[in-house]
Amino acid sequence: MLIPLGFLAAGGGGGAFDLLESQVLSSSASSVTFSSLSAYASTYQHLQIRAVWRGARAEADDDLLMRFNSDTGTNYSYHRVGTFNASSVVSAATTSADKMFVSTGSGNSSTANAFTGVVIDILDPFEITKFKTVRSLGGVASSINYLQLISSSWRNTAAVNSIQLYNYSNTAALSRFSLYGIKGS
Amino acid sequence: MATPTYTSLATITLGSSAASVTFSNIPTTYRDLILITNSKVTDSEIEMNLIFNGSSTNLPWVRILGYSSGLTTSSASNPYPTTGITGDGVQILQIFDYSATNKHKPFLIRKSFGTISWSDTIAGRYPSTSAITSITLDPFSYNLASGFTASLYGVAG
Repeated sequence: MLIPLGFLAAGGGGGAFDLLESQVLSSSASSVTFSSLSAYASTYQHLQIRAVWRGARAEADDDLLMRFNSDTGTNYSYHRVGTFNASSVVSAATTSADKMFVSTGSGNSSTANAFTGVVIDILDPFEITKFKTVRSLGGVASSINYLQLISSSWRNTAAVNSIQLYNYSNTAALSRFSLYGIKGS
Repeated sequence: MATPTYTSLATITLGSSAASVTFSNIPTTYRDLILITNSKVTDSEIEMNLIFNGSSTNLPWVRILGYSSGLTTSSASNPYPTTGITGDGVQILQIFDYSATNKHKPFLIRKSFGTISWSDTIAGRYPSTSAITSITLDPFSYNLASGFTASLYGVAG
């Protein structure tokens, strides 16, 4: 059965899932930041980041890291479950870190044109009565193979006003980070 | 300014079995695609070809599979990173930057098949810089069953 889309594709809608901002790197960058997020607090309950990224360092792999509100203190925890080159299923956890891991994927020495896809869910980022919970799922199949499900926490009740994403060195050009808002009831 | 997104592009439900299903002429105006299926086929559990742009090609992929007997991980490069079953289940395929012409296309698949006690997660890559304009699901030597459903969404970005 062939389903031609063309003119059948409907646009817009005004639903509960909105694109807020998007950044596409035209050249490598030290980090990507979404700021002044308090502007979204009255409208959205949750945030999601959908990203396609590649690390700029000359390694086969790289990690995508995240901080809230420029907090460089050891106020983050995370647990990772995943596979690296399909050798086994592994897990790791840290209860007191100065950043969150949200993805592991391709560095600049991996397969050309291979980027890592990741979906990052940030639950209740604007609530001031709870710590912040993050869930991410991402991976890449290239000269290196990574697949990870990661749960993270920022132990701070402050509303999230900025999100910084970065790699160990720079983030490669053509990487894309899109921020979405999800409305509550 | 917020842009409403997650647009329904097409939904099909098979009233009778079919050899395959294809979404074609996919508009390039979105950033990501999400395809949600129930993956019903006419045999118990089979690999299903995932074909982009009408040409079957090897898709590198890596998986973590939880099933009734345990947990396993594997990787391969072939045209069938996905699966169909005769029972009920749900499969969500996310394709990132599908219309970009300057990178390969990473994708993620999550499958939950309760009738065979599977929970499956896959990361893969369409190794082409061509924009994806069609997606075909084609089970090996079998058919998609009556009741098969597939919904394609475009996500702005």
